[in-house]
Amino acid sequence: MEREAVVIGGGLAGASLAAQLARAGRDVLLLERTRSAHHKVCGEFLSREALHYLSLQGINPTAFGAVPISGVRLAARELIAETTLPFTALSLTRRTLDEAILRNAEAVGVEVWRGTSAALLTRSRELWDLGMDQGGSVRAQNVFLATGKHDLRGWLRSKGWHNDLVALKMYFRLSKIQQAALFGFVELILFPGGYTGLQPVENGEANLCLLITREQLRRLKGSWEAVLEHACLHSPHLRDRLSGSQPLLDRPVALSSIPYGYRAPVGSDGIWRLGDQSAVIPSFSGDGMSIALHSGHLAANLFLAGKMPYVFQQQMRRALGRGIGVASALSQLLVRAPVLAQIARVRPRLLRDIAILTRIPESALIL
Amino acid sequence: MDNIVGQNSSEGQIPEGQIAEQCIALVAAAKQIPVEQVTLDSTFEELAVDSLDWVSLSFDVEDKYGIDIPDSRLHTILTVRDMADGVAEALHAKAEKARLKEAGEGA
Repeated sequence: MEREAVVIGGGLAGASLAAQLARAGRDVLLLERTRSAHHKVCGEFLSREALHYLSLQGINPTAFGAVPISGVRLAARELIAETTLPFTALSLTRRTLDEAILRNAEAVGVEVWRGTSAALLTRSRELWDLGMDQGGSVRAQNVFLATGKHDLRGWLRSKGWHNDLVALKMYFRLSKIQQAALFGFVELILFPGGYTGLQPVENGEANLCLLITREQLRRLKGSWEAVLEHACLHSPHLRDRLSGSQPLLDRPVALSSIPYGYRAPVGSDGIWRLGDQSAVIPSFSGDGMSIALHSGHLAANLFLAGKMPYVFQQQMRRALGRGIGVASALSQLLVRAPVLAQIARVRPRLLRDIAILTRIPESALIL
Repeated sequence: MDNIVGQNSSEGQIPEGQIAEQCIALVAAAKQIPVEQVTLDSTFEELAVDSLDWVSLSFDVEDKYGIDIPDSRLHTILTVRDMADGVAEALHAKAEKARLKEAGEGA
C-alpha cells in the first residue's frame, strides 16, 4: 500500500500538518500511538502565535473552556515581579486540545490510525518503508516525523543545550482564595535545583509543571512528595499557592532527558521533522506549542509548494534560532544562578522583554 | 553503587542472562514487589510502571551500568525483556565507543 504522505504522530504538529494537506486534497495517513485522550508533560500555555494557528484551523480554545492569561509573575521565596503580557494568552490542557486538533484533522479528510506506532523507517529507492509495532507496513512517498518526545529507532535527536532536567507535572484544585489569587496569571517559581510553572487551566484546575535537575531529584530519592516539599520549603510563595489544595492525579506525569535547545540540523535525508523533532524550546518560554503549530503550518505550505524538507528546516532554524538560544541560556541561568532573577525586581519589564525575545518573529508567521 | 561493567567476560560484557536477572530485580525493587512476581515477559503496564517509576529506574540503570536509556526510547520498552535488551544494547554501544577511542589513541 503506497501513500502520498504519512505523518508519524498525531500531536499538535502532526495533526496540524495533516489537516492542511488534507484540505489541499492530498492523500494523508496519520499514525497516532495512543488510543484516546491522555495527559502530556506540557506547560499548556497558548501564546498569541499558537492562537493564530489554531484559528487558521477553525479551532476556538475558549469553546473548550480555555482560560485567559494576561499576566506573568516571577517568584522565588516570594514574589519578585509581576507584569502584563504583551498579548492575551489562553490556557487549556493538552488532553483536551490535542484531541480537538486530531478530530478536526479527521473531519477534513485525514485517515487516522490510532493505537498505531512506527517501529522502523527505511528508505528503498524512491519510497519510504514504515514497519508498524503492531505488525504490517506502509510505503510512503513523503514522511513527516512528528513523534514529539519519542525518537524513532534509528532517527535519534542529539542532546540539546540543557538536558539534565526532569519534568514532573501535576494538576491541583487550589483553594478558592488561591484560585482567585492565581486567576489570569502564569507564575514562574524558582527553587534550588529547578523551577516550576503554575497556571490555571479549564474546569477550575491548575497545572503545575515543574522542572528539576537530575542531581537534585536523586538527592530527593526520586520521590514526588519530597520534590514538592523541597520546592515549598524554599518558596513560601508556592507553599501558599498549594495550601488547602487537592492533587488531581494519583502520580505526576514525568519526563526526563528532554533535549532543551535541540534544533534539527539541515540535512538531506528527505524527512520532514515537525514539532519537538525539529526544535525543543525550554518550557518556561511558553512558546513550545506555538513552535509545534508553526512547524506544522510551515511544513504544509512548503510541501504544497513543492519544496524539499531541507528548505523547511532552514526556515525553522532561521526563525527559531534567537528564541531557542535566549531561552536555553536563561534556562541554565534560572537553575544555576537563580539570584539573577532578582534583576526583575528592579526591572519588571524584563519579563515582557523575555516573552517577546523567545517568540517566533512576526515576519515568520504563516498567515 | 558499584559499576559492574566489564567484570565477567574477556570482552568486558555482562552475560545477557545476568542482565535479565538484574533488570527483574531492579523493577521488583522499584515497585516494591517480590522478585517472583516479575518475569521477562511482564509488561510495564501490568506491573503499573508509570513515567515516574521509569525516572527512578533510569537512575538505577545509570548507577548500576553507567549508561543512560533516555525517555525518547521509552515507547519501545513495553516489557522487562525490552528493558534488558535496551540495557544490553547500550552496554554494547558503550564498550564499542571505548574500544574505538582506545584504537584511535593507540594509532
